[in-house]
Amino acid sequence: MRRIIALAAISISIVLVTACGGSGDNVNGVGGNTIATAGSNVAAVVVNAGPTVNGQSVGDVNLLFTSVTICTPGSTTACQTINNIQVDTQSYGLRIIASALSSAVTLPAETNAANYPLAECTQFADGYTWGSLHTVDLTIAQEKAAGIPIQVIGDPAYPSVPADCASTGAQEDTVETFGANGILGIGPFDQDCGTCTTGTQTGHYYVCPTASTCADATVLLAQEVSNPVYEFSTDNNGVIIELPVVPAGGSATVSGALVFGIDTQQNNVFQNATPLYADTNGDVTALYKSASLADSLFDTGSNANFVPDTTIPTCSDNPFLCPSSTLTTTVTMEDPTGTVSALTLNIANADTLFNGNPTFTAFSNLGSQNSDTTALVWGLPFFYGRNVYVAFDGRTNTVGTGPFYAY
Amino acid sequence: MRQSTRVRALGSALIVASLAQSAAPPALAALGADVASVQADGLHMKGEVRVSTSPSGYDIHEMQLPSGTVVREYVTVDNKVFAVSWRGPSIPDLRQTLGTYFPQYVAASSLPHGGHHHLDISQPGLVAHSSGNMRSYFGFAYVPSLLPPNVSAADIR
Repeated sequence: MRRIIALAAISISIVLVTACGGSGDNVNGVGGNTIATAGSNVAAVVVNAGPTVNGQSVGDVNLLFTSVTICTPGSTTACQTINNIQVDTQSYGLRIIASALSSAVTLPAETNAANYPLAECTQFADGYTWGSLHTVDLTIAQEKAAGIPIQVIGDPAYPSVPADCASTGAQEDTVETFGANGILGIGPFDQDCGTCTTGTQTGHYYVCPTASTCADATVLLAQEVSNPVYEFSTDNNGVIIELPVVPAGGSATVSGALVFGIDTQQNNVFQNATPLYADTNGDVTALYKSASLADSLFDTGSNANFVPDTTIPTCSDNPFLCPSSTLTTTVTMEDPTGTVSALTLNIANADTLFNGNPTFTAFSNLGSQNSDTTALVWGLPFFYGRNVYVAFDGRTNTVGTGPFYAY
Repeated sequence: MRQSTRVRALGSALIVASLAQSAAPPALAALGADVASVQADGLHMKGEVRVSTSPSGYDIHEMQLPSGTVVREYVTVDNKVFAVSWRGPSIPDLRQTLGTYFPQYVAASSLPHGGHHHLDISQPGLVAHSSGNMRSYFGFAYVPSLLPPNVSAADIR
């Protein structure tokens, strides 16, 4: 995968020309969206090269970051603000790499009824994060969630990864391997693992009588690392991701807003959008070239639009798609209520994009092959130029009760 | 050790039979391994194995794990596991499922890539994919040199 490499010479003129071209970029409501700039419920988000380790960027293209402030529970002074936290609409909870935490901020361990500390193995598709659970008072924008559990990824106090955690893939417990200082999971549900409260669980939550004897465990629902927005006292029924247009040639960086709540403030009124209701996995259906893809979704944590179409050539030197010229396809989104919404999918040649602007980090027409032939994943490129609503499961706004997406 | 029971294909139909009631414990083999090793490999997966035969002649051993995740292993006519796949709320024990290919999978996963919801590995000895999110994962892996004639990645689901 491509790393961001700073090159001295970039051609601005090419960017301006392609920005004015607008071939297909201004359909389906792309552009013209109003991005909230102020408010107690507005957190700034950016797309940039992400954190650096030893002077080297460890980020990638199309990754969305924000900042969070965590405090020792009950304290207003033992606090730290951490940037380069990836914003992810398809995971749940706040997870921070241990090395990004200040020793001045004491975070109490979360424990079970026997007073043993809890830990978690978080399964991501590309690997796992292992670490202990701690409670924090969280502030994002001016929204607060008090005493919520978070995962401290790569906690040096728990160096032994349980075997059934390590067997789920690669370890991603450092800023370098994770590509961020942490991750803020604000998907359409509350918990990452609703079933982890009962039955036999392996590879999720653990109880640790000693640091080297962590064993699979069930945990109380309230102890799971969960979507922190559910815990806000207001503005807790969903989020809106608001990002500006990225022209066809890309953008160096992008600045936008993560707005909390839907129809709870003057700055988060639901407008010009049609709800697409999701299933219990957060999925909706995409009709793509006569195929019905029932596991499709909208994901700020995917850095391209992932399309199951082997007719589009892949690039030889990166994992993206390299059609000879930009492809434009209409994709129809459907939900069980009968809502139908047509979207335009543009896929440009990734080599051309990257070679044209090697320092750019945001590309609106980046595609990648999805080997899961049941899903079209609208990744971060979809979010540029739109206000995308993620309405939470079981929470109501003026349109209805989530989970649904709207844009 | 008892060999895995095979269900013969009748015509071109896909025949599925539950082996849960058979005397031997349900089991799966690892990628690249011989099916004769299934009993030892699969014991701790704790699921029910179903075997079907594809029209192309290879067998699919399918097991639903307690987590709800379904693991499939694709077996050549000479009893080699040439591919595996998984779909469900948890990622299965890949050390078990990928066997001797697990170290290669982990090493390739550790190469730089973007985001945490997609992984694709395409190496001479191993092709693998993993995607999805909390609640819903999908993945597969196969050994290109073991793929039977007329079988492609698109057949592994």
